[in-house]
Amino acid sequence: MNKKEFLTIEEIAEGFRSQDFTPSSILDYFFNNINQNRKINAYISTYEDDAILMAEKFDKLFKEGNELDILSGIPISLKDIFLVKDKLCTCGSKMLSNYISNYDSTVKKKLTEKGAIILGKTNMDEFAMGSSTETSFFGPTLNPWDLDRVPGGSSGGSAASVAGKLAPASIGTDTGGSIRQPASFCGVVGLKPTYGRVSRYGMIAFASSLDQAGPLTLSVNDSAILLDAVSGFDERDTTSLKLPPTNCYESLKKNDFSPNDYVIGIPYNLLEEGLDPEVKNNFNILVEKLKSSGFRIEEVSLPNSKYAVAIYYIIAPSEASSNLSRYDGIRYGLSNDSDVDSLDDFYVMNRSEGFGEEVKRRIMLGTYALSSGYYDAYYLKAVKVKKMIEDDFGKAFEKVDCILSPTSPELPFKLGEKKDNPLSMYLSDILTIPANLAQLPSISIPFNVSSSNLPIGAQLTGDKLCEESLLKISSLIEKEVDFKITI
Amino acid sequence: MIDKKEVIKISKLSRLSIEDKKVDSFIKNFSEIIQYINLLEEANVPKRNDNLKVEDYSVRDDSVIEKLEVEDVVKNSAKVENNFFAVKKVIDE
Repeated sequence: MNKKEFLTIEEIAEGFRSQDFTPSSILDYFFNNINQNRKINAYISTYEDDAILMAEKFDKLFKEGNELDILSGIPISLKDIFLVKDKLCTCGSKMLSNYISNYDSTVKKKLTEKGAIILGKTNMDEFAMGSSTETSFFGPTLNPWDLDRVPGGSSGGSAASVAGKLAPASIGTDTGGSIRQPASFCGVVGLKPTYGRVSRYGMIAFASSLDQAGPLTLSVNDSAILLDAVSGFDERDTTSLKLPPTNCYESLKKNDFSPNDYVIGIPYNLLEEGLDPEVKNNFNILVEKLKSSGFRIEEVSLPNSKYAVAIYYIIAPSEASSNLSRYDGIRYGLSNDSDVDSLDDFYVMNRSEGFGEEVKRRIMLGTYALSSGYYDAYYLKAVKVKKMIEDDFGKAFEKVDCILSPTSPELPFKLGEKKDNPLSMYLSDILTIPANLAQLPSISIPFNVSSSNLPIGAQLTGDKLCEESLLKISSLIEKEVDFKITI
Repeated sequence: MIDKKEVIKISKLSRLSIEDKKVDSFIKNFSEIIQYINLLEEANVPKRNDNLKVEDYSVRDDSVIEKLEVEDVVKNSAKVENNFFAVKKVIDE
């Protein structure tokens, strides 16, 4: 097979139609890469046998010249948080290391109905709690750019699978930056849609009011294709928005938009301190570049976003402590058969053995924040300050179309570097968390590399439900920066 | 500052135990995080936010959309008797 190394969904789909390659040959290419790069540890499980059968079916359909959906025969990796019927779903935890799904998540169902082929399930921080994929029970995922560094997290396996040529695209989840930060660390595009755009049915819950699924891809167009495929109302998710699937890809293809159409806001007050100098310099250069390409740049103020991390570490653990109370060793999950005195001791034994340290810390933080005497001071206060952040964004979107910042204040860090300092790990999500709290769509686009050849991502956040204009602006920036993965 | 007694109390409420050798580092990290979260005390909430409550999410009708078979539902459980989850006796004789 003669083709370039990195293939987008669009390019593969085109290749199937021009009969330059077949679904089977593409699948073979990715499984070869997967099997040769097991040390990256991007996958927890792979579905080679099922995938081969599916690909053969599509080989035939393409050969017959059938008109098929753009995702037909396209291999995709899924974060191991989405249930796939009759397959393991571990959520990166010892607790669920033997858990077999009883049903399909809506995301998986929508993808396969359109013909996508699931390559396997990607590694992640345990229960999506982390920013480095180091809390996974199955060991850390390595960053394909530099194997001594983390790929970010929690969707680190998904990001590494795309950057490492182990999948052309992936679906991850984002509660406080878990799609965008690993996308930034691995030099790929990562989109967190508006809260409620994509069904959470069959997606293992961490913090239900913040969790949202979205794509990690090699291009903005590919993110649009996947958003269109997985979005739309689902009656099985009570917070799913009553809206049809998006139609962003068609709008992007029209190519009838230019930088002059848009105003980009920059929250300079958030970027004053805590930024790695290389991130800061490169970001400033990007802003100048965008100015000269025709975008209007304006300063916006998000004065209350400085509270975002504090709010997040009240709300997310509170919801997690409730969501994770279901793991008791009885209905599913790790179940130790040692004899204990009481049912309560049985719960404690299983939960203590099944959960890792970070998960325990967050359950306890949530229990603390919700416990008697503290609820008003923590949870209720957090809800009120969260509203102030939403109001700041509302004001900003009266004068700009989207808000630009670096995705992460730092470059991909070394494995183990933050292991003993959870607070410093939490603080690295300062720029991504506000979009989750305000339920806004937000995307990370790679735009340059550091002097040590590590990728740097820019984050664009749009107003609620404005994915289409967000993707259009992203597409213009993508053309402007012409980023290439140089591993 | 959180002390050991409080951490033990929270761990009990959470149905979790922490290994003895990890208790000290756990308390240290936990206290640092709580201290950071206390940053919220300085946030001046406008009067209009006073009555904010946690959002009520609507619930759908309690009707079956897709049914799972009992045999499938219990297959992930370590201990099943007659298609029921079996647990330790909770009432003393």
